[in-house]
Amino acid sequence: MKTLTLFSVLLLSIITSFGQSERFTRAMNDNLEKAKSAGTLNDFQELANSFVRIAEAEKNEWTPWYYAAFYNLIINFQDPDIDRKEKYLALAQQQIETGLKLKPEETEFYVLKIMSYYAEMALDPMKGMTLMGEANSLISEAKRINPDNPRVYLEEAEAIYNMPAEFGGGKEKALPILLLAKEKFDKFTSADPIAPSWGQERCEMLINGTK
Amino acid sequence: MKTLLLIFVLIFSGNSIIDAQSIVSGRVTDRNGESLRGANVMVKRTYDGASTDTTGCFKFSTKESGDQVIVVSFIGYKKVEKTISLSESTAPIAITIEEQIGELKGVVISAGAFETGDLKRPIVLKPMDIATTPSAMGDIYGAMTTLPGTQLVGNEGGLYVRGGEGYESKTFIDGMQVVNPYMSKMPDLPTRSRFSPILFTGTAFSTGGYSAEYGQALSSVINLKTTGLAEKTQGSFSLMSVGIGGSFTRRWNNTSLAGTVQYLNMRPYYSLFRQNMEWEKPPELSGGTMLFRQRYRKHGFLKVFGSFDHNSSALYYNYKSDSTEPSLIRMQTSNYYINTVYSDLLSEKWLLKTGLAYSFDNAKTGIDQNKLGITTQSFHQRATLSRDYNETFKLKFGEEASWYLYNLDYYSFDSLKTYNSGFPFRDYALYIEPEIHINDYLAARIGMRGEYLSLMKEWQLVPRISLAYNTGDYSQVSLAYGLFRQRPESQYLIFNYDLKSEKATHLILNYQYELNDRIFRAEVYSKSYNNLVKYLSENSPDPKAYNNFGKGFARGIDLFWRDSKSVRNLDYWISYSYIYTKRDYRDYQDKHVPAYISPHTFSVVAKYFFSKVNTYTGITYMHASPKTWYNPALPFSRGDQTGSYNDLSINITVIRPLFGSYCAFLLNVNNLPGFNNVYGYHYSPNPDSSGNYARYSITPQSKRFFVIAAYYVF
Repeated sequence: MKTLTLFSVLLLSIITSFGQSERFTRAMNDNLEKAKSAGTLNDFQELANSFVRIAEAEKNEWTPWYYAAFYNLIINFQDPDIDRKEKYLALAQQQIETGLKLKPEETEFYVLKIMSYYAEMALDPMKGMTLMGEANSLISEAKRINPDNPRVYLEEAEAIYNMPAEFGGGKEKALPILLLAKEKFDKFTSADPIAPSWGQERCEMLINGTK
Repeated sequence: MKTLLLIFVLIFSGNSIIDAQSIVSGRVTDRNGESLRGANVMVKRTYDGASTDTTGCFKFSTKESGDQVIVVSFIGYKKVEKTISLSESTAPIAITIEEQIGELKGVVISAGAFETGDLKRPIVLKPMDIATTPSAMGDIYGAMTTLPGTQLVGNEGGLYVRGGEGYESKTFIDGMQVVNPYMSKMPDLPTRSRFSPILFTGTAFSTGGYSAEYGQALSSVINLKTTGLAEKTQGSFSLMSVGIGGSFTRRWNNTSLAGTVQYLNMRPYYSLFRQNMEWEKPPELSGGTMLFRQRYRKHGFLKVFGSFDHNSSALYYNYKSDSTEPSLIRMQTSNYYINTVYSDLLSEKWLLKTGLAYSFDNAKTGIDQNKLGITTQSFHQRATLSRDYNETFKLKFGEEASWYLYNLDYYSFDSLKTYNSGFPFRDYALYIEPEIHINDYLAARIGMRGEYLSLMKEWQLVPRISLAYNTGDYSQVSLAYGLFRQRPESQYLIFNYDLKSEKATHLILNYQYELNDRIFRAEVYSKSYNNLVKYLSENSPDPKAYNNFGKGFARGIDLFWRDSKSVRNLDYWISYSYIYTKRDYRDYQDKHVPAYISPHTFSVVAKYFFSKVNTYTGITYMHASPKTWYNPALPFSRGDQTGSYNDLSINITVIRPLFGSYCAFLLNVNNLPGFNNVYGYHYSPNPDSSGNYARYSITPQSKRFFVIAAYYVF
């Protein structure tokens, strides 16, 4: 009888945990599917909110925080209002930190953090020098942890691509890094279908832009 | 088997219960009834929820039932939780949320401290801020004098904090003692920091009530935090109107090494622009620094910082302040400093910080035919363990040991004799400092520091207590109390080892308001001094000429406002201090206001960045009310008043691309309008026939001072 009880408890826990993780995957996939057709600030807001709901319910998953932060950054980039830009940036940064606590050294969060520094720089050029330094040290840190994450190279290239040639930037200068990023994208496979996989199109677009 | 069956039944019937859906709907508005679009509404601990539409309305279905918590969050608003009973026919709910003006940040211990450097917190002074403050001319301490609580002492330099003397402020680099942070100085001329602000990422400047980690400082502590791993391999070259410099940085994966060299010579400048002092040899300085950084494993980090400099100058100066021939003062100093700091996480719980520093300083002064040589050597070792048990309890404790060797040689031309005197001494200290966050509103830090000073065979136990209370989402009040002790300066100890440590008690009440990048702080303080060293005459060799009977007090208010938000690309700060202080120390005959005190000081620093043309501009205005100097002809309580001190300085930095990299041009002008400033007076030692003592003004070396510099980064 004892064995049976134990067995049933085990079974129960398997069923419920399977049920939960399946529910999680489904919810994440639903959202990622919606994301493909998202284009307006409203859509991004819906997505960010939806990911937050999942994140709040699943205390051990890092991906919902990742996407919540990602879409809040997108809102920051697209919203023309400076005050709102700042608010969404601050929120995204908070979510990145929350996510990093769940999965320290996850380079995907480093990528977001680098993007958030670029966003902050756009808002406050006076902080430019310091933030660029922070971003650069994050880039090298991320490469150290995971030299195969193509998005790290993409973000590194983004800054150079957009920097005036007089300051050591420019499209030509960005090209070798973009090509390296492309190489990494081509090799990139993720074990987890929910984990971030974006960037390849952007990378190719930028490469075409240099021609 | 029955049990198993039962369980399956339970599971599946459970599922069927969940399948029954409830519809949750309603509207989210702000306090004025305006609809909020994009708010996130959810059933707590589930995925179920929705965002509000343009009319603030939301609607979603959930399988949950019974009493559930609905959470509403929206950017810039306070989160609201509401318990409702869910059923298939739940009525629409109306939810009002309130705007959150500041970010909720828990309380921080802040009385007395100007913590800086963290990218996210409202920052008071960053290295860039120091480097671009016009009145400071790249001097760390000069930039600190634009903060409240400090005095402008143009003829001395250094930091005079809340009625304290210059020696009462102690400098640390990464928590390690710097025995000689200032360049050696000539009489009536200000000294400067030995270290360039560019070496540091953050500066923690405390005007009182500081942590038990720091001892042997009566008034103030400045902790300079050196940079981490360098970002990239690069070099720079600079050409200034007063010298040349260069730097090179090499970055490897987990390692970086950087070095700087500098050579300064004032001769060309002084020969072009007349100075009101006669130099036999204008100051000449050569020096360099070295920074090595190495990361180990996951959290280990090693920092090595080294610096050296050689400095020489010779000046004609009349010590007697009369019409006799001036003396020739020659000065030659060498300083070496090295410090190694290692930090690591032990068993993922305890943070260990440990360090070792060594310094060597040799200063040779010749006054006509007399020669004085002072050599100081010191070792300092420290280890601190800290652990954050949880959000509410943090513990820090550690130990410190220092060893000094002080040696003095004096060759007297009159007696043709050489006097030699010196002494070694060791200090030990233990400290413990728990920090308790009693609730979201109240935090306390209770520190205790025990010290043993071997030379004076003195045991000391000094408490340090800070309390902080949150008065709103973006304001707080804090209170700090502490005892501070400092061994008398070596120039007195050398004649009398029986002197006791000097003592200060700080009581500080602080109010702070932070909103985004705007900060306002007000502090009132009361400080009392005991055991200050008194003497009958300076440099008297008789031990009995020295005692600890000195006393003093300081009371005042410091106000500070900084705003880098309201106008795009404009950053400015305003400081005002009022101080009432008197002390009876040194050879004073009674308690009176020391000559370095201006009761009112006021300063404004503003910087504007013209992003279109990549140009930074800065302006500083500083004002200090008259100081009182003791005139031998007047009763002690009166004295002579100097005029008030005024300074308006500007700088312009233009950044331009050059050969694929960039260069910067800087122009810095001090006292642009040419205010006539008098720092104080010297009096002739003997009265004239009518009983008056002839008075000589101490003034800046030249009315204006300017620097032109060009930097090239490659």
